[in-house]
Amino acid sequence: MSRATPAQPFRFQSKEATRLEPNLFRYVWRHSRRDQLLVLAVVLISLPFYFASFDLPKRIINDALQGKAFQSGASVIRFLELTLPLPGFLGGPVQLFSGFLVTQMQLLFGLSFLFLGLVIINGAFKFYINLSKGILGERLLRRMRYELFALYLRFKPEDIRTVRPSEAASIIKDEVEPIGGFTGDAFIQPAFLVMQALTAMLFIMVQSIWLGLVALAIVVVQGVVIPQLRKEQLRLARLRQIESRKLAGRIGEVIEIAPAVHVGGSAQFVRADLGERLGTLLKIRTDLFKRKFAVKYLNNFLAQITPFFFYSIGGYLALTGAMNIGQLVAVIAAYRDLPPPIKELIDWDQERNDVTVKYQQIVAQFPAQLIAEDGDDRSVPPPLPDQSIQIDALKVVDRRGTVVLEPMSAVLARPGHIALIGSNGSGRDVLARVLGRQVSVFSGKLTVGPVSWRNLPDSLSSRFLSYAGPDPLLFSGTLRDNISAPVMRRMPDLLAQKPEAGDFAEVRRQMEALRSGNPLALPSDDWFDLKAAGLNSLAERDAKITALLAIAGMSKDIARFGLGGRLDPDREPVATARIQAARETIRANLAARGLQHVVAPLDPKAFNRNATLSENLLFGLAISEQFQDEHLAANAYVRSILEAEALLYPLAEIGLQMAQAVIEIFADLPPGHPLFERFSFISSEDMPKFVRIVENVEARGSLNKLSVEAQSQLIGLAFSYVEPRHRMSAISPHFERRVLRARQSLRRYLPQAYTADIEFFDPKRYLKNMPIRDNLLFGRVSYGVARGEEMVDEVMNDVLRELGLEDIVRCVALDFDVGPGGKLLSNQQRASVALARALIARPELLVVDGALSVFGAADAAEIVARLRQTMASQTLVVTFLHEEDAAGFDQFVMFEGARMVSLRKAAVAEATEAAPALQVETVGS
Amino acid sequence: MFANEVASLQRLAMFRDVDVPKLKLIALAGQRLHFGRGETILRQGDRARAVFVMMEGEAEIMRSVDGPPVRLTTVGAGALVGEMGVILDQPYSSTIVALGPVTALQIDATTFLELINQVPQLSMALIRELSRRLLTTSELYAKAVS
Repeated sequence: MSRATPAQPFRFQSKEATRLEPNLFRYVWRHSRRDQLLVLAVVLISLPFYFASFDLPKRIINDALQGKAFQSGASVIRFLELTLPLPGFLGGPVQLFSGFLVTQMQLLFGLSFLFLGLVIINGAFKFYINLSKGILGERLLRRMRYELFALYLRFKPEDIRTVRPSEAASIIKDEVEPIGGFTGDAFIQPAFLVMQALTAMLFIMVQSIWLGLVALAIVVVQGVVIPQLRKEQLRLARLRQIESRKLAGRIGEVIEIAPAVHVGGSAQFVRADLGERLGTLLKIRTDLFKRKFAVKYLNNFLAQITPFFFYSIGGYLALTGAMNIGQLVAVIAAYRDLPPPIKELIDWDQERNDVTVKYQQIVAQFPAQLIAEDGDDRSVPPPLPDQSIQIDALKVVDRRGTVVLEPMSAVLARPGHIALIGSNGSGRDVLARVLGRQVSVFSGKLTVGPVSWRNLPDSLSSRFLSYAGPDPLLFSGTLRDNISAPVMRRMPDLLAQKPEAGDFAEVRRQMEALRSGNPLALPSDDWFDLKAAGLNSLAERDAKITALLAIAGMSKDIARFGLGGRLDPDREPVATARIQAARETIRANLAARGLQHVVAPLDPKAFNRNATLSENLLFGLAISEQFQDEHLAANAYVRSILEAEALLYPLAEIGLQMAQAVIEIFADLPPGHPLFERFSFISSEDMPKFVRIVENVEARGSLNKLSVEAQSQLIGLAFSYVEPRHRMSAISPHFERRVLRARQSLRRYLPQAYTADIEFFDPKRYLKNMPIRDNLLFGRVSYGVARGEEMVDEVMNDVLRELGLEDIVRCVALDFDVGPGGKLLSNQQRASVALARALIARPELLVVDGALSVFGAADAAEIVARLRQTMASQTLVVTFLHEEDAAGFDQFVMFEGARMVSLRKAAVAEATEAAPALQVETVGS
Repeated sequence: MFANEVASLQRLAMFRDVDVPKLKLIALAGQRLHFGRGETILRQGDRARAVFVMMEGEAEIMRSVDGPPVRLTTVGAGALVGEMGVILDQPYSSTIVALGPVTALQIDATTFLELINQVPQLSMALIRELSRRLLTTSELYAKAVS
């Protein structure tokens, strides 16, 4: 622990939330009040313009069209005159602008253009307000998603395992979406709408108090009745959210266990279960629609009934002279703008209810007891290397109340190698998980020096201990990414990364990150903690990872991944040129060791019996689909070449024999059987097709009567034929000569359109689509030579080392993408990666809990030996089934069921047979 | 296809009752290797990574226990060697060297165990073979003791 470093300065980084604010509005206000107030101010500024746009039509009709402004007989009046209406005691009105003298026609156009100007100004206000709301909402959404994700990462280990990944994804991705959309509207929308409605209402009142009262009455009914009716709608929406989440969880679960569903034959049951869930959702949705559209009907009715009153009452008032026509037209125009804000207000209220409920449900997913408390690492001193692990009355009870580790007390000496011995699922595993911080709920004491497991902050524990469990947890990415993960913790120096002058995009990115409470640092920044990994520079990283993988038993795989990888000569001209140049050295080395016969070179003029028939025909690699084995014979050009050399029939015959053999060998094994998957050269999907072809040939007694398509399929199969591999004695010297002639014709007459479809073998070039291994060898390892591959690999590795090409190959190997959850790796490889990952941060304490169970006994023993060597001066805890597997360990902790039955040191262990009773230093109470 | 290998496997007592398609599967899963005179087929103490079915030629089995290797016996076409190390996941317990040109079918350990696991006929055949060897050893031991 002496190398434990203090926490890196983290500038501009917001502290991670430890809980979600339970009140949505408080959350929104806390994180966006500045923006909300700014937009509200703009809303206020926009109101006079909005009001003016109502008043203007009245003036156009009354003053400009009906000429009321000119009733005094004047031919011109003042337009745009601005007067400050000060009261008499202040000196009376003050004229700010005398305006222009205009005629009636000029007034009409002046007012019309003024109206147009207001339309543009009001539109611009709306544009700004909508845009600001949208961005505000998205910013809060980003913050909320980030905080939810961060909260999930803070779940206690035993709790996060119970979270269904698809449900968590559904919450973060989908369920917060409407909440985010609403947050932009949370304050601005009601303010804006209320002001709009009040403006319209005030205008109507000013024109006619009676019409205003009618409009007000309808609005009150709308505002009271509709929300009441919508309560049921909300309940249904809530139900739908819960059911949808359950559905997402179930789908995710079934997809994860799909292979077991197939094997178990429970697909119909699973389908029925899903069908029932979908039915429930449909029922909820149907009820929701019924309620929703009934409310909509009522709402529309109330909105439409108001004009009825306006036309009848307003018309009556206009006809009786109590109101002029211009006023009535203006009232009707103003009323057009009243229902939308009222309706939107009601909608807003419903959305408020809706998202508040959604928000509360999300908050409920993150109760405080699930979130692990992170101690303050400044107050916890790092343990000294020789401080023992003190276990005092440690007891663990699982969620069902079963005691899975009975109270135990022990002292585990550090540094030392400690074997936890017991059956699977016994207290052995529980103690390993507690030590590895995979179980955080326990009673009793577990300390190392002054540090307790309970208040060990993540920052300290990640430097002090690491854990490799029975389920290696890998993520989609390269091997390098997966293994480097524990040391990707060096906080990038953000001040050093100040955006360059003029880099507005970067400034904007950083501003947005800050405003959303997201980290400023990017994943592409330099996060690798060289010191934690014990490196001096990043250039040493790949060598370190490779060394760790070798300890974890994956060195051969790494060599295979590297040599099986590809390099693009256009992007890596130097590396590929060096690899190509190494061909000669490898050939010379093989010859020097008397191994030249082990590799059959790819010679343009010779048939290579260790290569496939298609490789021999094309003498290159098929790049496009149509030149792949299965489609090759269907290509008219290739077919014509094969026909010219009379190869069609013999190839179809080889394909037929291969098909017959596969059908015979795998007749009683179901498709999908591991042996079928591994050894059949016909895929399970193609199997029925080939069965039909073979039956057809056997029934007709001849290949000639087959359709061209069926023949092409057989030839496609034959193209994968390798004589020493398939051993059918199908390749005669005469056949070889014909294939060679076909090879030359194929290349000589290749149409221009196909030149990009094949990459021809060329001893003088590095081939982009060929693995590094083949580019190095430029030949095929002969079948039939004992340890052939192994000997060639030795030569290749020696040459790579000699020529300094190891780094290139290693880099390619570590670029290997492990696939989602590491699915592209075998179980052993996944376990090796997890072990290497546990080692990279050079932990003081490494807990290996069942991580070796996927290896055979011999491999596991070799890995343990290497781990012990690597952790010679640190503490290693490994779980074992049998004591004899743990030879050489310093301390042995034995379990029977949930009870620790013995704890002894190695020196005492030698005397155990003589005096077993004395072995027990401390036994669980 | 695999006619030679099938014929060799049928000569092996343990595979005598196994169907031809299953023998072809073994041949398909294996690799035919050639060893020259004096070449080591498998070495005592090496990790048991494969079993070998002798198809042609003869080889001698040697074992060393705290000293120079002692010749135990000779095996010829039809013999299965290396299987105990693979089953027990332990190093080979003896060294086998070709006495002349030898052709053998090499089946890697994973494939061999998979075949035993997945094909009941093969696992039964193996049990029979191991029981037979145990019986022979017991008889030899009984003779030696008496």
